[in-house]
This record gives sequence, C-alpha cells and structure tokens, in this order.
Amino acid sequence: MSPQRATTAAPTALLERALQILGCFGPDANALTLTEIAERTALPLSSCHRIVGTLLVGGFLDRGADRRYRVGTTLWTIAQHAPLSDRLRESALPALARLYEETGENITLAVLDQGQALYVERLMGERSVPTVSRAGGHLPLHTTGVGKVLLAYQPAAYIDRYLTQPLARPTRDSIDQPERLRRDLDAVRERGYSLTRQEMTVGSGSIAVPIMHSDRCVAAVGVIVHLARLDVNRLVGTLNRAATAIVAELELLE
Amino acid sequence: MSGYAPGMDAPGSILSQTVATQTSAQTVTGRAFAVLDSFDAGHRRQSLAAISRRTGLPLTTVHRLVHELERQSALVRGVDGDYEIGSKIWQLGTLASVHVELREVALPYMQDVYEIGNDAVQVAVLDGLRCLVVDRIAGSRTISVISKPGSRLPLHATGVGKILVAFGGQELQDAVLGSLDRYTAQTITNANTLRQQLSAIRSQGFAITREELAAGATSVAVPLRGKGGAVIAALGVVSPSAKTEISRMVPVLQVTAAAISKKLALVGLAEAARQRAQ
Repeated sequence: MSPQRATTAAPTALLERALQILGCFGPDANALTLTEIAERTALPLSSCHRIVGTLLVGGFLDRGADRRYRVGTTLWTIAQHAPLSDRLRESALPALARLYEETGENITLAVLDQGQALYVERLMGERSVPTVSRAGGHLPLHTTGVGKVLLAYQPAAYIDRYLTQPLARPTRDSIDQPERLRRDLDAVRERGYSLTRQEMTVGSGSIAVPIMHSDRCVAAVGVIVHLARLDVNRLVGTLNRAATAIVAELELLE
Repeated sequence: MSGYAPGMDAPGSILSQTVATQTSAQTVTGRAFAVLDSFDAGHRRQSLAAISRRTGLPLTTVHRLVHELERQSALVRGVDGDYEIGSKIWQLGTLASVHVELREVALPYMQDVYEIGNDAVQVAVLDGLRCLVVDRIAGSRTISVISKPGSRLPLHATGVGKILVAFGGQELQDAVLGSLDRYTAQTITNANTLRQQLSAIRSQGFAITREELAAGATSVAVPLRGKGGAVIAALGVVSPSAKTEISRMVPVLQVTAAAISKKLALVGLAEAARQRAQ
C-alpha cells in the first residue's frame, strides 16, 4: 500500500472502529469491560483502549465505579435531537399516554428501520402482558402488529423483495409462507389495521394502525393484549383516535 | 411547538467545547463526534456548511465524516438535503444509564400525572451547573414549555432545578448562588433570597417557580430518591400561571415520587446485585 493510500484510508477506518465499539453495546450488554469490548469487536486491546479513551473524553461513553463502560450522557443527549425522538416520540407521547389510560394494555409506536420494526416507544403497566418489544429494539415486520402495518404500506416492490427472503418463525403461529403473508398484508390495507394472534409471543395478540402523514405511513401505533382481551372493534376505534391525534400533532410542527 | 429561547442551551456548551478542543484536533474519532455533538436543541437539522461552521472543521473533512456517519445510520439525510441524527445514535441512546435506570422507570408514573392534570410533566437530573431534562410529556394542549428531553435548563429558575440544588451539596449551592442569570422580571437573582428559598424547599419537600424562566409558566417539583435515599432526580409539572393554583399538584407529585423512588431503589439494588454476580 502506498503511503498516500494509507493516510486516506485510515481516517474512516478509525471512525468505523469507534462506531463498531459503540455498536457492541446492546439491551443485554449495556455495561461492558474493556476486555469484553475487545472480545466483541475482535480489535486489539490497545486500539480499543485508545478509542474508548477518546469516547470517554467526549462523554460518548461513561465509566462506572465498577470499571464498566456504558453509553454516556452526551450520546444520550444527542440522541434526543434525532427526529425519531424530537418529532415522532414527542408528538405521539400524549396520545400514547391516553391510549394506555383507556386500555391499560401494552402500547407500542414503531417505524420501519433496516427491514425491521424499530420500537420508538412502549408504554406498559401492571396488568399489561409481558412482551419482547422494548424502546430502541427491533422485531420482524411480519410477526408484529406494528410491523405488518409498516410493511403493508410500503411500495409493492419493497413487499415483493421482503417476501423473497426467509421469514423468521418465532412461534408456531407466525406466518412464514410468502403468499399467505401477502394476502394478510392486502387485508391490512383494505381494512386499515393489522391483526396478529400469537405470531410473536404465545398467548398474546396485537392490533396496529398506520400513522399517515403526507400520504406516507411514517409510523405505526399498536396495542398488545392477552388473547382473551383481543376485542378488535373496540381497540381499532381507540387506536384510530390516537393515530388521528398524533397526525394532528405532527402537522402542528410544520 | 415550544420555542427555544436563545442562550438557554448555548451551542458552545461546555460539552461541545470539550469535544472540539480536546479531541477534534487529535483524532478522526474526535472530529466525527464533534460533528455529532454540533447537533443540539437549536440545531436539529444542519447542512454540511453549517456543520463545518459550527465545528470549525474544513468542509472537505466534514463531507467525508458525514458521508461515513450517514453510511452507518448515525446521521440521516432529510428530503431537503440537510442532515439529522439517525436511528443508530437514537438506538444507542436508549442504552444510557439515564434512560434505562431513570426514564424507563419514571415514564409510566409520569403518564398518570399527565392524565390527572393535563399539565406538562418532566423529569430532570443534575448535569454540571444545569438540569438535564430526561423526559417530558407535553402535547399542544399543555403549556408550551421550553424543555424537551435533552435540553439543559438553568437550576435557579426552574422547579426541578431548585429541587436539585436544594438537595445537592454545599459546593453546588455555592456555585449556583454565585451566578444567577436573569430570564424574566420574576427570576430570583438575589443570592440571599434564593438561599432562604432553598432552605424552605428542603423542609417542605417541594419547590415552586412562578414565571421565573418564562412569562406565563408556573412550575412545581419534588425530589426523586434512589437507593440509600439520595436525591438523584426531580419530578415536576409546568402549567399556565392563569390556571388553578399549582400547589394543588403537590400531593399528587409527592405520592408519585414515593412510588417512583421505591422502583428506583429496586433498580439500583438489582443493578448492584448484578454487578456483584459478575
């Protein structure tokens, strides 16, 4: 490699490593030691040490008394300025809170992100059923109520492409046959809401509706309930009122 | 949407300066994070030129860094061509302690307070000589409050801030009392007056502000305690001054704060147990 190429290649490689280090933090790994970071990134301990040092100075990582590193407050603060948080979550939160008060169930708000449903917020209470969704987490599009809505309102080419990939099957009732899923998505568009029964978690069902803004489905709002409480008519009405309220708040921002 | 008062969270915050001066000149990582750090409450969407101006980095450098950050979903390009913080950074933010150990614990209780009074509800922690808004629920039906999650507000002019100072250390109190900026005619800028008020807040257990940060807005706040009983955050509501007396919210806030504090102590204990096990 010529010296010139080395200098032009190095900078982004370093940045990539820094993002790789941040990327090894996750819901099940929110506090890591330097050794764990080195193991997870397969980077030499010395470069990890150097990059982690830079991230620490900038407040992108914090180090606790237990000598473990965590995502830092500066990074959290910057994250609050993301449109996902600043516009969508901010606009939706009052409606989600009302939805929760009205149903007492698990309420979720999600967007399409890298071929999956990214949960922007989840509200739950004492009597809500346990779920696998968490704010900041991803779940498959075809096994979740919010995911089916997000997928159903994508252009036909997107749906075709989605259907050609292997479809994960977290439960026995998950739809993993492309043609059955396509019919289900058609139904979502026709009636304006999605319905899942034990397709992500055994014992639970979900219903979700789109949040339409400028003729685009920008997000989906859904409710996850125990199968026995899956009262479709009542929940669809409540969800539609919430979606209308969220759209009104989003429009106020313009 | 709430207006953002200039100077409330100046772009050249202590943190931005740290990143820009200590690391940016030295490493590409530092420069990339200075780019991310140039996004704040007053600059949520920026062009390449604006980023270059605010970071002091050459346009070509900014171009290269932004391109890489966009490739990694750390930044996202909007329809107008300007850049915004992307899903990757947002997702990482949900892993921060302030998020996992405070926001997720407090949010269900904040919902209850919001439903009771339809006032804007917020939770804040101490961050240097400011209070950092960790979360808030506020719709267009509530008063337009300046605070948004991630905003830094003055300690002496907000209900949540006064709580954090009143229950903070002597060193913090001296530092805050030493520099009392004025935001409205009602802002308390006299150190002795504020000192007496802080003492009253400690004994009564709640703080009230009346139009001290923004005209028309009144706030009331109470402390949130973690394990061991230390005050680690504040819970407050902001409502229009014309509305019914805000002190009616004190009992609601106190009951809610007790419930949140109980949960926070459990989270703290769970975290401590997990650390011992590892």
